[in-house]
Amino acid sequence: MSEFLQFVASGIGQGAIYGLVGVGFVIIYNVTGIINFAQGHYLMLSALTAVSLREAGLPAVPALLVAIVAGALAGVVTDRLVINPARRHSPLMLIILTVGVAIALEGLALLIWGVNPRRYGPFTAGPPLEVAGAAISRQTLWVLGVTLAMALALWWFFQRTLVGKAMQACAMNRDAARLQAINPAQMSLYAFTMAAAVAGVAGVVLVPITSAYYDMGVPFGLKGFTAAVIGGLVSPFGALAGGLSLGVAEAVGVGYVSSAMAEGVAFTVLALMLVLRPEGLLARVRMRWA
Amino acid sequence: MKRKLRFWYATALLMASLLFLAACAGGEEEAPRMPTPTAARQPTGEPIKIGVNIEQSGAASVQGEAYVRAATLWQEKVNREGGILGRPVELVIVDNKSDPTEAAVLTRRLVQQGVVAIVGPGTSPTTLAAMNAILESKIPVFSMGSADSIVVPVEQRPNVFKTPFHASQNVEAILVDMKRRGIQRIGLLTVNNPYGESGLAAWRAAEQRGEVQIVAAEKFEANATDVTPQLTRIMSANPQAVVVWAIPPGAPLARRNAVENLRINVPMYHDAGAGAELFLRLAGQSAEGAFMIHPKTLVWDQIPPTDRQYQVLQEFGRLYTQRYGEMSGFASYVWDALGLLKAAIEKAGSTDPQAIIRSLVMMGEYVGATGVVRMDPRDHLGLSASDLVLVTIKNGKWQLVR
Amino acid sequence: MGLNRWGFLAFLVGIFGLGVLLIPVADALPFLTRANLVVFALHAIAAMGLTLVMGFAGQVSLGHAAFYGVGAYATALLTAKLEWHPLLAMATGAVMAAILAALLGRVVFRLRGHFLAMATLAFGLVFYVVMRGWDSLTGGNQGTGGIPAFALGGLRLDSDTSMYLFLWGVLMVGIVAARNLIKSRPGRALVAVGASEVAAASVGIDVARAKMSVFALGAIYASVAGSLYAHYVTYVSPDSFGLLPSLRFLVISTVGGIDSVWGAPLGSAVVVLLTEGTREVVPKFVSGATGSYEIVAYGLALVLVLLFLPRGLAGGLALVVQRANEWLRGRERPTPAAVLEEVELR
Repeated sequence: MSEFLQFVASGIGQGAIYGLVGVGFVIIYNVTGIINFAQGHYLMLSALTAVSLREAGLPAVPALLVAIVAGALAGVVTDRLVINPARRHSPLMLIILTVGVAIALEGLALLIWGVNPRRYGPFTAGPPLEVAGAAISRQTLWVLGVTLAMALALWWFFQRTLVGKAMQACAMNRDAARLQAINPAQMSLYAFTMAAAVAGVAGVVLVPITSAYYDMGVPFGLKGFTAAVIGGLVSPFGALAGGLSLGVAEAVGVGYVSSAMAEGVAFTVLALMLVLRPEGLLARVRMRWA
Repeated sequence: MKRKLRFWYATALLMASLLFLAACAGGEEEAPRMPTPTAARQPTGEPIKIGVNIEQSGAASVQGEAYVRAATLWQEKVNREGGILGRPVELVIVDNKSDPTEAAVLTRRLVQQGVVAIVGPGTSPTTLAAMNAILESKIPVFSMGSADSIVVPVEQRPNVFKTPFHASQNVEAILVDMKRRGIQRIGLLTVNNPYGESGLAAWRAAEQRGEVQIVAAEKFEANATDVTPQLTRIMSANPQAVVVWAIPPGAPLARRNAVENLRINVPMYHDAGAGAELFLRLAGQSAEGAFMIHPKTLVWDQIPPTDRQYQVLQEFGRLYTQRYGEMSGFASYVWDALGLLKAAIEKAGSTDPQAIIRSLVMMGEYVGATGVVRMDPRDHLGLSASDLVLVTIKNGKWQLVR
Repeated sequence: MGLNRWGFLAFLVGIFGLGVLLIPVADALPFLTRANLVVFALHAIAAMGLTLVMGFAGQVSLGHAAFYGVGAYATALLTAKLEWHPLLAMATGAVMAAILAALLGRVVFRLRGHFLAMATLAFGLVFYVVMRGWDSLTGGNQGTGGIPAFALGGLRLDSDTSMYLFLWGVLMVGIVAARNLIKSRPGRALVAVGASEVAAASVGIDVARAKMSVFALGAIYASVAGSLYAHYVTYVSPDSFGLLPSLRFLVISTVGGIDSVWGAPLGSAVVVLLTEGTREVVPKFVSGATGSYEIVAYGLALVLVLLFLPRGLAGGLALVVQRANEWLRGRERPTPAAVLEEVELR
């Protein structure tokens, strides 16, 4: 039993990260209709920037905040330089454009930070917590706490602010939104910025658990996308729930099936979800944006 | 709208150039020029070209970086000390991006550029993909790949050599220590890539010979962020020791998960790929007490003067740490490959590839940083497991166990 | 490009001559070797399959390297272990790839746009994981080797030059086949599907069937290229068929231009020049430069071409040719806006 709990505990920590990346996919997809292939790369940029700033001697809080802003800036740049000028292209071209952005960001990271993985210590030092025989590291608690905070912040943003409501309107019907004097180009900018910032938050809380390196963008992007698809690509909260279930499925898969095929678990889930239930597991719940 | 777009492009250009400047500044900081001691004798004449075909980016780039550092350092040293046969050495370093196809194409390209020998590719898949090109080239090629099949069977690999220990020799050396501690039942955690695979195969072979009992064998992805589930599985089989076969960041991650999350109290062994300075940096406090089987390079400053490799290790260790600030577990493989080539060219008195190959296999003993190399026509590696040492980490420093 | 059948044939002969001419060019350029030509041709053939899928049926595939892998592994296992004839192994691989693609198409073509793209991505990744995990068949991560050189009767392709010339011939056959397809009745149906699925369906075209067959055809191109790749390198390992190779094919096709049969060769040539060019030029300015510059160049090239030449280089060239033609014939030059409009209408 404690073994099973350990798998679940590990899975939840991983899954929260997947979920945060997935949230970005959902926001961008709903507001602009684009699947952004570079989503995981914002996480990578923030993570590496945070490491550099910490190594340069900046205190933790400003370093992490600046790193998140750096990730968000990458989102701004993606939207203004690539997506906005190309908004009349076909969806096919837009996907490929984001692939181009992803490749360029990865190359840039390799240029700046080199190949070696880097890391900084956990936010709070100390031994892991024991829950019914399962060990949960303190950083995992940070990850979960930050994820919860992000979920609340997103809820507040989409429910209580004008911009958030405008983005929702854009997601429901872009043409109708335009008639209400909502500028889709501006909404697109906000969506990319927010998505990149959320991925950036995931990046900086993730570094102490693993490490940061230049080609971590693709694997996290893929897992995040899978999380978003499990949640039906309609709601940020669906993506978070999707991420948690994917993380747990992976960890339990390693524990009871085969560790050699662990990576296959996520991608098979992705393929099956897309083919069998493209509307997502949670579509019936109709969570939509809140 | 147009003007806005122009503004954003200008901003991007500015940011890119700033980043570029930062990158350049970083590069300079990394490689402070050493004061050049008085040159023995300025090498003259046509330079001797040696190709270096390395994974500087992509999946195997962590090793690749150390390889290129070692190669650059070696070139400077040799040219400072009078070159080879009085001629300067020119290394042609190319990046194969860990891509098998590209490694093969680059091998052909280097041959066409007139190199007398090639060092690299640095992994098994890149080497095996380039094998056809290597064999056709008929020039001596040193690989840093781990698979035995790179130099075996030797009749089909007349011009192929390698410098890192076979995975089976690493296993053999770990087993010596395990026997001493009375360890019979082990759990095995390997990274799911060619590197981990060769380790797994070597351990399975040892199990077949009845030297050890593998009670649990798990794999993890090279980009995994948590291997606690795998370790949990292994520990539930109750092993007397855990062996981790991986390179960074996987190896230090496994160590951290084991120590911090599961507080595993059985000995943990890593192989030489676990990555020296990166292991320390990424595993932090948790690295304390981990065992690693390794060539003597990690503890170069603790080797007694009576050791046959003392001189070589002193020189290599001092040069490398002065330049790069820390030792690398991988660097000596390239250092030795180039050293062997130099010795062979000098012995042959010519840069004719066939003559170099002949003098390589007839060289007798060559004392390298990795170990004492005794190549012969039947053995294109020439290392023996007894040159491996067991090291551990105490107070953030590598310590020689024996 | 507005050529009739004979004009096209003459053009083709010229192109074949150009292919032969590339050999002395590669010899003369310091940063190219004949091995680069082989890789160029292999990638062009595989990417041409993707061009068909994207350009003529309007479907994107982010898992194209999997079909390349099917061909490579079929050849590797059948010729090295069972000692089949290379041609038979290649045909088997192609049939397997086509069946796999048709099955996949059957399932995923219910999806649209992004979902379809991501489903092909997932398929490619699952293929990669299986090739790594199925040790007993594929040799797992360590790969499998011992593949003989391609031999057909007295023809043995064991040098870069012979391999390249053969591949160039295969590429020509591929181009002719693709062009004939487009001009044929089912081909026109495909183009209609690519332009508008609803309109195509309304005139009685079986859209699903048309898409499935073009997907299978694209897989055959990739598989044949994969088989020849296996013969050339004599060793295959999963890393040659993962996500990055799939993205590379995508870059080749889109940079070259997805609505011209010349797009894939053009794109492949550009990628080779970009790769080798940056490798040659950048280290002269930045010491210790590695492949990272090339990766950045790759990404930027993709973004810039798509932003400013959405029809790829082939489309851009066609525009230049058209302009030159009009200028030569002394026709009144249309305004740029009119040209753009015409281009977009195609």
